[in-house]
Amino acid sequence: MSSTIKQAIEALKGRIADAYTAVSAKGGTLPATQDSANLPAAINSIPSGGGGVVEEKDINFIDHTGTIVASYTLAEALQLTELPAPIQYDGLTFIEWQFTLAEIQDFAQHNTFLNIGAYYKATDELLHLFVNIETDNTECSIYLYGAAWNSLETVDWGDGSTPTSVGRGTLSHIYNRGDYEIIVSSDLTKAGGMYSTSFPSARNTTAYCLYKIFASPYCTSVGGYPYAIREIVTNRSTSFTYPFSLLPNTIITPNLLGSGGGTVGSTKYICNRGISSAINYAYEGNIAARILPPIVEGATAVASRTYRDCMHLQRVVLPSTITSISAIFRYNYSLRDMYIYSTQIPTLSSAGAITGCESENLTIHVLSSLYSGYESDTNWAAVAADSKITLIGDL
Amino acid sequence: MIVQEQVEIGTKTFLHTYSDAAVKIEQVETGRIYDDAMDVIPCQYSYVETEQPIEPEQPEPDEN
Repeated sequence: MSSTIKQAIEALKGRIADAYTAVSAKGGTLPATQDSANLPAAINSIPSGGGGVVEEKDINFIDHTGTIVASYTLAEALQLTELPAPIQYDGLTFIEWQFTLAEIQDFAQHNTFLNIGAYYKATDELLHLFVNIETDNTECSIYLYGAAWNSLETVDWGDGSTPTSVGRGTLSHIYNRGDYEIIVSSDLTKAGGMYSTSFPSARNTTAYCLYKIFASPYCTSVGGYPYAIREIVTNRSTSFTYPFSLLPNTIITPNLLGSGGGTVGSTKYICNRGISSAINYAYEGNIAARILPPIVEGATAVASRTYRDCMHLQRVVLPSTITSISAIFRYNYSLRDMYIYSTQIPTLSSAGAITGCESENLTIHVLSSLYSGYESDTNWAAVAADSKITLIGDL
Repeated sequence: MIVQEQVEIGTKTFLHTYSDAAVKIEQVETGRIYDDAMDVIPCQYSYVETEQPIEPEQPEPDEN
């Protein structure tokens, strides 16, 4: 009898878990404690009329698939007491959101729109490459730079062939068209690792790995789709094109983005912890994102062309440490608000650095204590006189 | 050579200062560096040319 009751309870728990999975799939917000008591609220959180798709707001929680898990206005974010539960994926273990609740609320307090990425790792802690090969007899390669320096690494090519073991070097393999999961075994937590890969006819390639990867230009050849990387460390002057586009926990370091623009192209959701110092052309050419990662506190300059051609960008927030601004804007037709928390009036390289944004209706918010200074400062005075720009001291 | 000319923005008149050699200019009294400077009139500042070139505008990709 007790066995029957236990089985019934277990079955009930299973159905509750299934219900939460369905809520998540429909775009509802999951509580931290997923029990029967919280289920009604979770169901009520499913957006109505939107086909289960969570609408983008000011603060968005996004995972590596580009799915918005939860979204809030700035005011709603300030009321949060816990972060939303992530979507569970087979083979992946959720680690954390890239910002803490305290950090998010600090950003919200400072009027900052934010996309917050989810950090997952492969549950087995191996590197998984999911590739779709479109052409028969395609030679693909993986360059094992030595994640665990000189340790034996094994590559399971995912097509039933015998796995290959090697210390470091380039491995090649011939594929026919189809979907494959390639698994690389090594200790990826050790420094020095970079897997460059080449899948000439691959599409929809995704890689899951963990922790540190040293940036290399070669990784751009993974079909242009994101690695899930916790942290990128580099001092190389390299164009690390698409793979960071959905990375959850990356502070972009100088030179990481390379030059020439277009580094994030048409990526709508760019999740990283922001720009830590001046990088020329950081988001230049992004024509899709409404929200771009923040300039982090401590940065002293906003570099040239940072937001050029970011046509859908709505808001830019500069931290208190910014002391100079160069020609960061152009063709920012959707820009509506610029918040400047600088505790001294930043040197503006040219009035055109801001008026060049070509927004028809831009409001610049500055510290109230500095407002009169802006009105007479070199170049800022001309910005304030522009009929399409409103300068107000409301911070 | 430093060039100065008056320009109107909205209802106000400013003194526009720039280098005809396309170099950045230094505001002597503050040491601040500008590509070009718009100051309210009467202007409290004087300017000299630096040796730093102003980053030239690059053509749009579809203009290549």
